[in-house]
Amino acid sequence: MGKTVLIVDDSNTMRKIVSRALRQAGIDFSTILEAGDGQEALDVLSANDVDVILSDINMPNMNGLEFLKAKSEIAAIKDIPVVMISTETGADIIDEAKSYGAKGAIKKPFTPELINETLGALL
Amino acid sequence: MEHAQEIINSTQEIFSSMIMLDVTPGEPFIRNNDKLINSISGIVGLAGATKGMLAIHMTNAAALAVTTAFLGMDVEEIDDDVRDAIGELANMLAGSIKSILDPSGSDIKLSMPSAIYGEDYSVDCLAGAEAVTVPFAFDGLGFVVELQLRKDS
Amino acid sequence: MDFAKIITETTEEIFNCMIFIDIAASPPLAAGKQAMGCHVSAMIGLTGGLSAMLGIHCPSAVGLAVTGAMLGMELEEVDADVKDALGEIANMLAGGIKERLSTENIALELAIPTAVTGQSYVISAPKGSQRVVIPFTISQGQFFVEIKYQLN
Repeated sequence: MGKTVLIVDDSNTMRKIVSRALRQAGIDFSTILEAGDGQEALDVLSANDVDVILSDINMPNMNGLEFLKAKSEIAAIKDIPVVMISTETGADIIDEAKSYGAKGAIKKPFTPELINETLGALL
Repeated sequence: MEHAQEIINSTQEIFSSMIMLDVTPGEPFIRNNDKLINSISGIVGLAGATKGMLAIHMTNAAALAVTTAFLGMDVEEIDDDVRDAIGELANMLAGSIKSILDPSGSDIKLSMPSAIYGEDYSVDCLAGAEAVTVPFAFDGLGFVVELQLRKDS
Repeated sequence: MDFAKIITETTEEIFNCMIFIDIAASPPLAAGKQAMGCHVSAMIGLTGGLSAMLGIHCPSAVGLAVTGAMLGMELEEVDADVKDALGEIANMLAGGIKERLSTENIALELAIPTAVTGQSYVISAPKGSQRVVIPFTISQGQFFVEIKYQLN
């Protein structure tokens, strides 16, 4: 059965780019859900079964790190793996994201192969 | 609208102290990406924990009047002097607004000013920033100052 | 701080990874020459060890082709997707420059991208700033990646 992925990014265009890369990565996602910030992502997660989350770090309202923290406190969703996507991915931010439970990080620009490799290990 | 008062204070201060022009503010509004016709824009990127852009958009006539007063010499066309003056004006406005919004000086850093000019263009900031624009009038001419900010909480 | 090399490598990396269009880099434009015939640009400020503005400038047809390839969809006019996609490319270019310069102990922070569109505009930098412009060719035409900078 196809998996469900949630893409969290404040840029509508970036969500389209990530969707396209997911299709090219050859992973069989039956459903691609989207959210514009961390709060919207929590709302989507409360209403849907999601297998893996790809999240931007810099976002208004609730950023990626705050989202990770909030998600880790909700029993029903805390175990869904999250991979961060960002341009400015300093080692300190990645370490912080991992301390809040992120399973990996993808730096832009990314290839479909890198997406496949990173997500494949989590699904 | 948030930050409109800071824009008004900074703009009036810079125009009265550096350009010797009294400028009258109008009602703040959301500019979207309206077309600019026969205009020049000075823009400065804001980087750091708070990111964004400060822009001043002027018609050519207003830019010539402001540059003439600013440099104390007659300018008649949009040349290097005008482009530099409008870029520098954006830089000073951004510096002044930064000093109000970020007194410790650690949160916002200014990047290099650019001037954009032409017969027909539009400027829009991407990445979902909050925007406010204040119009100003002087001597029957006008310009707008636009601030876009995004705090990555 | 070889910006011609940094821009060429970073641009090629982004196109190879995410856009899948073959691009051919040309040597930098001679001093004083500007990108011509462009109707959509995305720019982003960088600051820290130097103060800079990075821009990508495209004719409409090139902006549409690049965005269409990046999003995997057909586009007919320069709309919000085109501005956002070019903004994202500018952001990644700036990120690549930041990363490469950090190895030369030049720390930088990024602003957020701004798009400029229109039938007729020119973008200038302050007197005394340095400028490097690299033209790239795809089948639909040329686009330009430009950095203007001053040392702080």
